[in-house]
Amino acid sequence: MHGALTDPERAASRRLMQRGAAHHPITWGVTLVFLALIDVGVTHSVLLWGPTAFEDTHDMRRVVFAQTYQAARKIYAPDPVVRTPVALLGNSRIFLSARESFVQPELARLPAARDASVVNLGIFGAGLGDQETLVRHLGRLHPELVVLTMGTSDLLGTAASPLAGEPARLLRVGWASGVEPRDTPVERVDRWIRTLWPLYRFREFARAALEDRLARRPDPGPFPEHFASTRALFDYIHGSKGERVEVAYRAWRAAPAFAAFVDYLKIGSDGYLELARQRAAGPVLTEQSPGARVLDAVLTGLADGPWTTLVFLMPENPLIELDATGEYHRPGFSAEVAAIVTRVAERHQVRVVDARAWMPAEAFIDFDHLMPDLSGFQRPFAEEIAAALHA
Amino acid sequence: MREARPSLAIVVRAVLYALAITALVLYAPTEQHVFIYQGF
Repeated sequence: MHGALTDPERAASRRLMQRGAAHHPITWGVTLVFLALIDVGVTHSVLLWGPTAFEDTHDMRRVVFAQTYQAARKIYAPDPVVRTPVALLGNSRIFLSARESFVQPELARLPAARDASVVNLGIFGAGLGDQETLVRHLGRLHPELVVLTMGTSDLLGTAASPLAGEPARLLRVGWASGVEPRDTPVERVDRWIRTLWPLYRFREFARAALEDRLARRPDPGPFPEHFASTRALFDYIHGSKGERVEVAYRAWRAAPAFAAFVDYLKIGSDGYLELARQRAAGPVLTEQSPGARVLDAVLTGLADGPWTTLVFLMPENPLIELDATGEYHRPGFSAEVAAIVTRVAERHQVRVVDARAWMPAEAFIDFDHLMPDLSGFQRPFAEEIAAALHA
Repeated sequence: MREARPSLAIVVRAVLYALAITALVLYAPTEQHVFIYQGF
């Protein structure tokens, strides 16, 4: 009868039953094949990298996770329109001020940068240790230019703004340990598995994406491509408090005293003021400080890559100089750190663009962050990118 | 003599193992750090 087992097949089948299919080496071989197929099916598809609702969260407990996911997507599933990638590394300072939708039109006006595509990999709160981890992934993006943007306070590690945090934890790969903090043996093995196995590397993101697609939560929508006014910006950032923040901001603009600016910040950004206080009370920095050593590690990684590297010291609000009591800044700190950054960068033959004094007070949301779109920062920044690409 | 082919039992078990390992990878407890961004 067709399909009936022959005697040798029956005997083989019986042997297999006796040994148990579970212990058969072929079972594990075929399991590996299916695991590879599942891996490719997840990590090379819209299942992992398609648009999600969670990445647009306004919940400050989830925003770092969401932005780390977006940075990973920009590296591992880049937009097809990206031609000559210019990778921007940094934290909220660059995330907000150099959105692709702001910088790209400026680059298009400059002949030297017409083919360049900005890839903003900024993540809120990302420290230099987080950048060191991101650099380990940059080879996948094949950037022509990498701009490491930083504020002078980034060399400090504080509880509210650690040198390395969630992005470094989520994206850790590589055979060698990072600089700060040292990982435990368990973390080391975890990092090695992440390096070898993409599904394991992106498991937190895959879980979130899967849950997102199954639960179909409402999407608050992506970060706006443009802001028409400060009111629109404050409504986006502060939600229902937007109107009060706008009134306080207008009061400061009408009578631009330092105290009025602090009053404006107290309404919508009390947490930010606490962060500024922590920084002002931070330690004195030297080239041997942990932050400087991590910067050295970041630049070591960047200098090894087949791209041009630029260190960009982000604009600082000149209003901070009016902080007479030193509650929110330490006089001279910015210049000291800029000198340290320059010396560390020189060791790696990396050029430093010092943009600390580029922008006026009215271009800022607070002491550190430029107003997205409205500040106009994207114009001189695009020119700097063009100059670096042309050099 | 004909070469033995992987039986259906092997394939079914392999699929189940692969799915179980995938579920374990995705849903095994991971470090939970709630970092509340304070920048604003």
